[in-house]
Amino acid sequence: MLLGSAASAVFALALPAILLMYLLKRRYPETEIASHLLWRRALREQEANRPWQRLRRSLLLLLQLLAAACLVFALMEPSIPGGAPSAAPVVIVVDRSASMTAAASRGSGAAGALEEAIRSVTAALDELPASRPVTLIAAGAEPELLLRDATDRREIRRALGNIEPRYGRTDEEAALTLAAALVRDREGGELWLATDGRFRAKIPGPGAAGIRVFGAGRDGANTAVVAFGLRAAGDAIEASATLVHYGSRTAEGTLAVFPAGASEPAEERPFRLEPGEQRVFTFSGLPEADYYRADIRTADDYAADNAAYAFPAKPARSRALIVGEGSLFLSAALELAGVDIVRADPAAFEPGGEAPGAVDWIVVYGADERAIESDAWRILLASRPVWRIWSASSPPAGGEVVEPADSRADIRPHPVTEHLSLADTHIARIVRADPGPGMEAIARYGGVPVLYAGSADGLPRLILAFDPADSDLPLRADFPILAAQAAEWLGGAAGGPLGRAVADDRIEIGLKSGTARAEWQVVETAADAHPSADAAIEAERTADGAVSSVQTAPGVPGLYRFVEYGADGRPLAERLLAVQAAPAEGIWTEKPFADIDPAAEAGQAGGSPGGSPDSAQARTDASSGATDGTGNTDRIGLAPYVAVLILLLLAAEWEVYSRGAAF
Amino acid sequence: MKTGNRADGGATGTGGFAGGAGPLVRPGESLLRKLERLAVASAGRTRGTQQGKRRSGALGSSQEFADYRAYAPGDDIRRLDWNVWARTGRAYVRQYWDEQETCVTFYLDVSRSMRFEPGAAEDRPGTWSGTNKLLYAARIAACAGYAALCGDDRAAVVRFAGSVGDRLHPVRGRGAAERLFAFLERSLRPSADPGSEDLRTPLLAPGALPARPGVCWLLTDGLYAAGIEETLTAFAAARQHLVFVHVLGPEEWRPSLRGELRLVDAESAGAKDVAIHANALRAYDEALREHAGAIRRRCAELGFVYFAVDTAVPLEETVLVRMARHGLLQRQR
Repeated sequence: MLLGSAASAVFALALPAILLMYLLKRRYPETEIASHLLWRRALREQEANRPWQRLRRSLLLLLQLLAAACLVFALMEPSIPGGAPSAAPVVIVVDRSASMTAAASRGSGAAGALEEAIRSVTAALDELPASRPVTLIAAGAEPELLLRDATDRREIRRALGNIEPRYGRTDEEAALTLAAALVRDREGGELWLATDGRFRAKIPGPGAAGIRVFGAGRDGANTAVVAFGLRAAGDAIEASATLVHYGSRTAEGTLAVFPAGASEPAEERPFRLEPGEQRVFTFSGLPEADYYRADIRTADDYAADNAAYAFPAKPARSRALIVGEGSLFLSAALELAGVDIVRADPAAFEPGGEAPGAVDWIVVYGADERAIESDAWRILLASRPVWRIWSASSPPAGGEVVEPADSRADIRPHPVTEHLSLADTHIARIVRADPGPGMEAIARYGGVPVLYAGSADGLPRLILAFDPADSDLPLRADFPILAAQAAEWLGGAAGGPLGRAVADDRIEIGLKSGTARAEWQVVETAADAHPSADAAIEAERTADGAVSSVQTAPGVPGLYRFVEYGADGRPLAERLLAVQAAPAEGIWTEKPFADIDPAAEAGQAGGSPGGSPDSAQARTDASSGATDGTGNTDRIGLAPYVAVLILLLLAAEWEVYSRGAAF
Repeated sequence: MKTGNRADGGATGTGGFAGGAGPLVRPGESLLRKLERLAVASAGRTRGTQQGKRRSGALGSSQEFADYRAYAPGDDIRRLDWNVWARTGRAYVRQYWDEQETCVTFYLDVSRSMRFEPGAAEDRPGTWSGTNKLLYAARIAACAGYAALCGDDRAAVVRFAGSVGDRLHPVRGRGAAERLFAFLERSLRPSADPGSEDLRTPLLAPGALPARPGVCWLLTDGLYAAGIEETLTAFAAARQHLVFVHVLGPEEWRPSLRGELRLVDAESAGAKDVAIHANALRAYDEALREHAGAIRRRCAELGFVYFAVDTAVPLEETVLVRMARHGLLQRQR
């Protein structure tokens, strides 16, 4: 039973007023009759000679009091929860983004916001009629439909309990859109949203669905290591770490830098950050190591961004074999990118047995195609990453030379095209030919593909579809960048760290030739990470069974080692990858629930979350009991029933009155 | 019209009674003339003490033949039927019924409920209207008493309220009519005795009922909570032939009360708050019919006569038409 206007209870003062009026009621006009005898027999009522006796016998008064009480009750706008049809679906969207790993609201007893949200959803499920089907959606990079119209409460509870946080990027909007689509056009459907309020999506218009928000987590503080980089300063290594503090109070703690594998920090620095402050700390004279970890220790509600990894920029040089004429510009650009160049004229040189070990990757530029058709060349080209540069003067078989219609450049994101623009570049002639299977155009010029990237036999392949000599590209700043990025991408397979990636992101990895199997090994993860992350993760494979060159980064932040094995089970290479949580999850500049749609926010008791840290708790309690602002759909107003009751009472009063039993 | 006098022939609404400052009870002359030709009926054989016009249960000297019986020595030979003797040679004596007078006792209820009349002072009979129950009952007693006196019967009046008050001892002969009227007139005067809830209180007191068999007229409104049936039985036990004249006013037969009222009992002065509506009036009507029906049934069981009177009906019609139709007042033989 819910009361819309409990304050209307003051109208209950009318009841004693009625009572008083009865006590003070004017006496009836006196009429003398010969005898009471017949009236007494007719009415069979005893005379009451005391006011309270009169009240006690006054059925009329009782009925009037009842009617007045009903009126007061109706004024209080009573309603009962429910009203949604018993088979109306409930769609639960659980936000499992990284921010849900933050601390739970105070007093909830839950280990984290996710657990707290799931607890309150479970509690609400217990009050739900068993016949209502429940659909469970976990928000993630892609919304995951865990259950569809399930009615088995144990199954739902088990599925809820199995939800684990995802540290990668989360597409909340997609989850909500899916949920709204599932509820739409189903009468009485409800959308339940379990979140900490750091939800980067507008809740779609309620439509037919009632939206109920289960809040969790607290309006707490977060200190993040947003950047950690290394720089060589002479022989020593210098590190700089940038800290940002989000929160309402000053944060204090220590920032420590650990060299690889060390249990004691190389250097430790206390810090004190004001709300919103960002500060750079510099460490110098660090010992040499494969990687470094910056770690903060502070009273902080969100741990996933408290550590960051950096890898020293090793002067790891790769060796490239330029087959063909090459060019001075290309050689200079590659040398600038740290590539040792070996030239080979295919007409004069046939690769021998030790050649594969000598070079890391191959550039085919200006070579006669016929000259490299021999078996030795084919084996060599198939076992190394290859960058082919087509030339209009000797196009590949079936190729044609076209002149671009305009100078509009269309660049697709790719490691090779990362800083390219081709904005002021003029290209005179472009070769249009079949790039071969698995190749994809990543840059177009005047509508014609100029750069293809892809892989063959698990090795990266790059094709530049025009001769740099036919353009002014070598004079542009883009050219050394292209050469450096191509060298990095093609030579990546040669060794060195994989760098950083956001959890669950798709990353491209240049594989060693001969890789038969690969796996992710955990080097270290954050202290509170899930235990299942300790096991090695098998690398993904393509449809034809080979190890894919595009892998999904591990889901838990930490440091991982990508180990490739050859067919004989011998490790071919080990590379490190630092996995971090989606950076947006740690930016706690906005108050929780700031993005929640106002229609839904109205359902949160009190509306806007207050500034005090404890307001989250109050919000959680209230929101788990109250319904949302669209509540008309799941409340049954009792006023019409009370009105019928009052009418019945009035009829009874009239009956009593006309029977004359008004004593 | 209360201004008529006893000579107006009784053709008006006052029922042929004098009004105003004059006597209230005495019937007008024309009504007296009509009453002279009537007599009070009595059931069965009566037994008085003096010669009268009533056929007695005993054989006697009237003109009415009763039977023959064989002559016995000592019989009055004037009663020998000579014709029978001539035909048969046996001597038979003719026997005749004895005729005796009977005593008609009027029990007049003078309790406060009888005096009560809405809107009139009960201690000033001159202000009463013709529908006052006590006045109406006294007038019935006057008419019936006059008819009894004219029929060579004796008439007596007993007035009672909470107890038996004054009484008029049996009088006889037309000349006693004025005494009867005067006594009834006095009965209208205010009395300190308000009446009783139980009819047995006044009427079952020792000496209240006649010692000899006779005819009794009980003129009352019957508004007694108890004792009516027992009193009727007592009359039967006293070998009285009772006529129960149930006198009620139009306000009692058909109350015109409406709304929420505080009803005050004229006798007990007790008050009662009542909301009167159609349902309540229906219940009242039912209670009244049940009450009257109980009296009527008891009277029928005892061979008595129950006669309901509405004081709104003109007295002449009640006396000359309705009572005659009920056989209470009959033409003299």
